[in-house]
Amino acid sequence: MNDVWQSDWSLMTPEWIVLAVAVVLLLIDVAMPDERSRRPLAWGAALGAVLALGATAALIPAEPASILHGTFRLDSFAKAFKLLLLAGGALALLIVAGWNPKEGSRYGGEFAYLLLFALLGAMMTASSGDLLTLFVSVELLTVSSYILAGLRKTVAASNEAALKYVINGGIATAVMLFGMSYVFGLTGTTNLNEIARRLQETNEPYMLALAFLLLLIGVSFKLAAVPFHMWAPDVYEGAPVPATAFFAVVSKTAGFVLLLRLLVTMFAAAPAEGRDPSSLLLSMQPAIAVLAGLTMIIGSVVALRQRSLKRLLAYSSIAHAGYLLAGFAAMSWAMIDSLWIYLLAYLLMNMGAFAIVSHIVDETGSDDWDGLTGLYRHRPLLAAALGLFLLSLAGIPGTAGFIAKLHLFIGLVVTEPGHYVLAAVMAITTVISYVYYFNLIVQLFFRPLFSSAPLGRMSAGLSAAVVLCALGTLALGWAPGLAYNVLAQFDHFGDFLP
Amino acid sequence: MMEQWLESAPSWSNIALFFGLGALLLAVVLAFVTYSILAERKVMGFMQGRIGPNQVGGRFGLLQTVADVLKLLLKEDTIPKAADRPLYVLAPVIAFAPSFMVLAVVPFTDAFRFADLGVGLLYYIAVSGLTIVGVITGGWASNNKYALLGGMRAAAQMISYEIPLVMSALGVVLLAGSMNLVDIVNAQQDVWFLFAQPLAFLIFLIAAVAELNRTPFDLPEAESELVAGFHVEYSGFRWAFFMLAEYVYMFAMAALITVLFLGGWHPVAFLGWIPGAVWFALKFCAVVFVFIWFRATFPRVRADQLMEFAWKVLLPLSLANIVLTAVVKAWFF
Amino acid sequence: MSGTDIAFFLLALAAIAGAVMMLQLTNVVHMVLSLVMTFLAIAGLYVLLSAEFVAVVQVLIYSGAITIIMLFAIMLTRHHADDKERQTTGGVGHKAAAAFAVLAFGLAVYAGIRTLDFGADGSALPADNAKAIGQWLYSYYTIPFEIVSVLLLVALIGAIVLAKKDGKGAEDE
Repeated sequence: MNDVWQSDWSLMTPEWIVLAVAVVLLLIDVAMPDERSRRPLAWGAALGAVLALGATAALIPAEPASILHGTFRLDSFAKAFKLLLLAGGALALLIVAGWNPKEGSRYGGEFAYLLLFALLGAMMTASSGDLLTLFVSVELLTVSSYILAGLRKTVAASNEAALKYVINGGIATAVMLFGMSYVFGLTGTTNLNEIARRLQETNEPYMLALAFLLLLIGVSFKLAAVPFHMWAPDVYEGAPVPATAFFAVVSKTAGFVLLLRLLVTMFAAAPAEGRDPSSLLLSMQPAIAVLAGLTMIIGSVVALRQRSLKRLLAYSSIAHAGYLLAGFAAMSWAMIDSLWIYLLAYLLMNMGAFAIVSHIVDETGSDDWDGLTGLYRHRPLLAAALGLFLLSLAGIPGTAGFIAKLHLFIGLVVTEPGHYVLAAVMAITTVISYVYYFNLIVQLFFRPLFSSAPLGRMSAGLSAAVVLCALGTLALGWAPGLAYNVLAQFDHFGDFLP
Repeated sequence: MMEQWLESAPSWSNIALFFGLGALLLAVVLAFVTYSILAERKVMGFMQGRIGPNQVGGRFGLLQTVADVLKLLLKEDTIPKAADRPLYVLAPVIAFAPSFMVLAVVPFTDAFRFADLGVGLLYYIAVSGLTIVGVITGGWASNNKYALLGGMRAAAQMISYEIPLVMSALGVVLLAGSMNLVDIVNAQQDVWFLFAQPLAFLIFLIAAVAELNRTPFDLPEAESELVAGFHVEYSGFRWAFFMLAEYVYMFAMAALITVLFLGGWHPVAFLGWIPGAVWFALKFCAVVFVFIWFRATFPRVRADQLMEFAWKVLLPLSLANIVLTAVVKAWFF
Repeated sequence: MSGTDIAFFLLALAAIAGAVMMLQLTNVVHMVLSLVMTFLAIAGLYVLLSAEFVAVVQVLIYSGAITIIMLFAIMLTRHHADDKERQTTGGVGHKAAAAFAVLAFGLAVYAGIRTLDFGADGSALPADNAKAIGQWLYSYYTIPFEIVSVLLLVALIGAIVLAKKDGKGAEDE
């Protein structure tokens, strides 16, 4: 009992802020008269996320520490990824604030605080040093996401999205839990560092490999990596656009956080049979590489045939997950740094793109790419911003996407032995992805106007999100030193492994 | 205890012992059911200025229920053509079996008890919840709209009232520091929990009456609106099973209330020379009498009032009781 | 062979039989009831592992609460039990592939657990395991426990948000 009171709970300040804001918003929403607009709640939630971002930044100098036997851990990894998650969450909340769907926006309140709860789950995932915390945090994130996906109750596609998400998410959870149960059985503890220590003493390479694969498959579901990606396009298409943005960015970041926390911490030094007897993780590299390669290829190739903007972005996000997995498979010494940079760039360009797609969907009522045709004629700035995001997604020099992809690429080539096949696949799929990104750009700039009715003005929330993302994309593209400076504070995540 | 039994080598004498003990308890319970039905009719007769059964078995009608049961067993067993046959047959069994299973954890006296489970209270509540599955299955399998409605009502009512029931019992658990029913009785050596937890007792009593589907909460079987609720299509011994389950639950619930709030087998003040079993029986009979008294005097509540009462009155009250108990326990003990 | 072995065998058989019946039966209500059988058998297995608290909670939550909610949902909604309207996706090829995958996975796991030794058995569990669980939950595992409470809050909000009627229709009713 004394443990609980003597812990340094101030380490959890960002989490407390997010939780408090969510609960206060929930109470306000209940007390508010029905007919009042819920938009201010979304602004309040965004403000809360920004506050938590500030609190996290203020915690950066703090020494790595943990509360209650590592069930909460604040190391440099947690801090770095919480920055990303909170930034993504804040931008998603800006999109919520600016969201104006055709069927009326009655959902503002729920949207704001459910998103905050999901964000809380993602943050706790980044900060957990215990299997149990990890698991319930991921569940908090996913359960909130199921609800977010189904919030447009009158739209059949949204219902379908929620149902598919629940079923697939449930399977993923079951598989992951099954894997965890073997790890727990072999070690008898839930503390990740303790597990890593005890696994070095076990001599069950076969069972460990099985557990590793089960965990990998479970996480791959969450990451929408091929061949476990089938749910993603339908969910992304059916869910409300701000929720889609959240899934594509924050949930995916949380998925990689989960991947690193779970697999790297536990298995980096576990015994194995096969290629590298000293590390199960390294001996499993081929499996991860195959997953990464498939994800890149299928994501890029299928995206070629999409006409729906949301589906296209969904497949593009699958392809990006493939690039990230390739970076993970490389296991270079700067793996976490390069993943962080990539996720930062991915966050900026994707959130920007989704903000604009949200506006187009709200205005035209469909997410067909015809809605983009000739956008440049009457909304040049908007078209330019979207063009920038698309260029960045394609990885053209001068944008954030290029810098990020460069890091992953270097990571693949410089490790010993080099992963040349993966590097080649990455290069080829990048070229394939040019086709659909440039197709969109052609639509934007070089086609005559499709509809006579020009798009309406963008709401303040969406504009803010677009401007922030565009500035960030450019800044990271031209002055990547900014990101390096942030990253330097974490000292290559030396305290990540026990 | 449980472990010893489970790990003892399975021998025929072992099995015979278990079976014999079970049969003994069943005989006790059946005797109780027989005479509680008679008592119910007699007490209600008395309250309504009637005489009640007075023909079969002497002046007090002592064999009236036995005759009724014989009649039931001889009745034709009908199964409706459109009924879902396997479930229709299975439902009375699902409803009855748990009612007998819960008796395993109830300590009647210091010595006369079956299983000494660490989670006895929870076991009682968990297993008694299974009966709902039997009731709702029976209602559905009858393929009759009154039966279905009755089954649904019963299920809704029983799960709704199970929550305040558990929540109010938590106050007792907090004070006793255990979910073991023997420990709970022993914690009442000096003060019965009736006096330490008056609010919890009230809530528990009300919720218990609702759990038993007795007046004033007998909506699932309301003759005047639903014909007879979930067992309208049942006849003969299958119907008897449902009735039996209901009365066994009354037995179990009265025993549980005695254990939780009335100090079990502990004597009152200086009367320690009277054996514990008699005390238990006396307290137990008092609770049963209260149940019958309720039935004779209360009108039935309306369906909408029923749910609101559980969720909006009993649940908040029982939650408040938990907080209050926790505060008292933390500061004064 | 001790009583534990016989009990384990019977319970495991009941659990598997319930699961298979759940998949094979065509009537939804029958399926739910076979699920109850599986849940109860699993609760029995927990008792064999001397985890009485988990066993009782399993009965309370799964066989009691969840099943009844499922029965309610089934009885309150329209469902087609007719053979004519039953349809299945996937032909023989799909089924064969699925069977192969399940078999292969089963064999892979069996190969691993055949010689697996999890070390000491669970007989060292505290006799009063509800108390022990409580003490762990409120000291060591406070943080996950609190996250679970947030999770339940989210589930509650979600259920209300998704099930609530809104718009003008709600006020008319």
